[in-house]
Amino acid sequence: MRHTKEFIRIEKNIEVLIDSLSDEFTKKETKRLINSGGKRLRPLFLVLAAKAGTINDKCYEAAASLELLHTSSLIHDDIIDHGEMRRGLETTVNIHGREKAVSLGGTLSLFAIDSILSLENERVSTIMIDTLETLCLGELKQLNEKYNFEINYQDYITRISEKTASLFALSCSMGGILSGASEKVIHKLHHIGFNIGCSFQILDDILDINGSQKESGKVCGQDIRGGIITLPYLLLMDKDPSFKKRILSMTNRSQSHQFDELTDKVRKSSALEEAYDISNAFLDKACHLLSSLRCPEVEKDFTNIIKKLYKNK
Amino acid sequence: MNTKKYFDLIEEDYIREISLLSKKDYIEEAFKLAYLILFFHSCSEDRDGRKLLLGDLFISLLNRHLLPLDRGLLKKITDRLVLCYSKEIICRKYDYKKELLELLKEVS
Repeated sequence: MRHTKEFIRIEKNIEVLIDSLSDEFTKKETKRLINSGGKRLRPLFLVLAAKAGTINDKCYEAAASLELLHTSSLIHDDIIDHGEMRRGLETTVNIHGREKAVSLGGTLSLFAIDSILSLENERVSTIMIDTLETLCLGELKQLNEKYNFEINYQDYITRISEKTASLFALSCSMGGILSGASEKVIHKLHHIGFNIGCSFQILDDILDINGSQKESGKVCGQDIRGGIITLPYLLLMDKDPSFKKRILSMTNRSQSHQFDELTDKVRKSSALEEAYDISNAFLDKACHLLSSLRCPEVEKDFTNIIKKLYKNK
Repeated sequence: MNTKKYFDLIEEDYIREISLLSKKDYIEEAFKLAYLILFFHSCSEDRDGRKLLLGDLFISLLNRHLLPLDRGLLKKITDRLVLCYSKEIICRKYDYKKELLELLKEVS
C-alpha cells in the first residue's frame, strides 16, 4: 500500500480527535462510520499537498478534522437521500433515526470546524468557512433543481464543483498554506484538487449507473430516481432526442422501473465511455498543473492517485 | 446570501430578550444565527431535507460572522450548540431557546 506512513499518522490523528468527543454515543457512532472503510482521500490530499512546503503536525491535525467534516456531511446526506446503506453498512439515520443523525452530524461539523479554527491560521479558517458555505448552497441549489432535467453541461459542472470539487480544492489549499508553500504553488494546488475532485465526482456518477452494490456500497440508479441528473444521462440526451424526450417527461411521480429503464439505456450506450473521457480531461488538467509545480514528490504522489482514476476506463 | 429574511422565523420573545441582554449588535446577531441552526436542525417536518441543509448553512454563517469579531464567543456558542445536540441524543428533550439565553446571560 502506498502512503502507509501518511495513512498511519492520519489515522492516529483521527483517533485522537474522536477520543476527545464528549459523549459516548457520538464517539461510538463516529468510530463505526470512520472504520467503515472510507478512502481518506481528503486528508491524504492535504498531507500530500503539504509536501510542497514543510509538512508539520498542524497539517495532520487539519487532515483529521477534514475527514470528520466529510463524515458529518455524509451523515446529513443520508438523511436527505433516505440512504439505508453506505460503504456496505447501515447508515446512522437508518439505525438511530433522524433526530440522532441530525445531532451527530451537527456535533461533528461544529467539532471539526472548531478544531480547524484552533490551528489559528486565519487564511485556513476563512477558506474552510467559504467552502462549507459553498457546499451548503450547492446542496440547496441541487434540491431546488430536483426533477428538473433541463439542466445543461455547464450547470452540471457548477454543481459538482460546489458539492465535491470544492472540498478537494480546500484540502490541497490547506496543505499548501499550512506547510508554508509559496502563493503560486498554493494557487496551483487548489486547482489540482479541484480538477481531481471533478473527475472523482464524474466517476462516482458513472458508478451509480454501472457499479455493483458491492463496489459502490449503494443501490444503482439512485441519482436519477432521486431526481438528480448526472453527466452520462446528459450526454445521451444530447445525442438521442427520443431519450431526451423520455427524460423530460419524468417527474417525482414516475415509477422506479421507468427510471431504471433509462439507466439501463445509458448503461448500454456510449455515454459512459464519453463520461470517462471528460473525467480524464479533468485529470489531464491536474497532471499539467502538477508538472508545472516543480515539486517532484508532490507530482509523483498525486500522479499515482491520478493513474488509478484513469484506470477506471 | 441574505440571512436577514430568516430572522423573521425567530420567536419574538427570544428577539426581545437577546436585544435586552446583548451589549453589542454583533452579539445579538450571533445569537440569532445560533437560534436558526437549532431551529432548522430540530424541525421534524422536513421531507426534502431543506431545513437540515439550512441548519448546516447557518453553522458556516455563524462562524463567518464571529470569526473576525470574537473568537472567544464563537467557542462558547459552539460548545453550547454541541451540548444541545448531545441533550437531543441522550434525552430527546431540550429547550434550545432557554439554553442559548442562559449562555447569553453568562457572557453578558
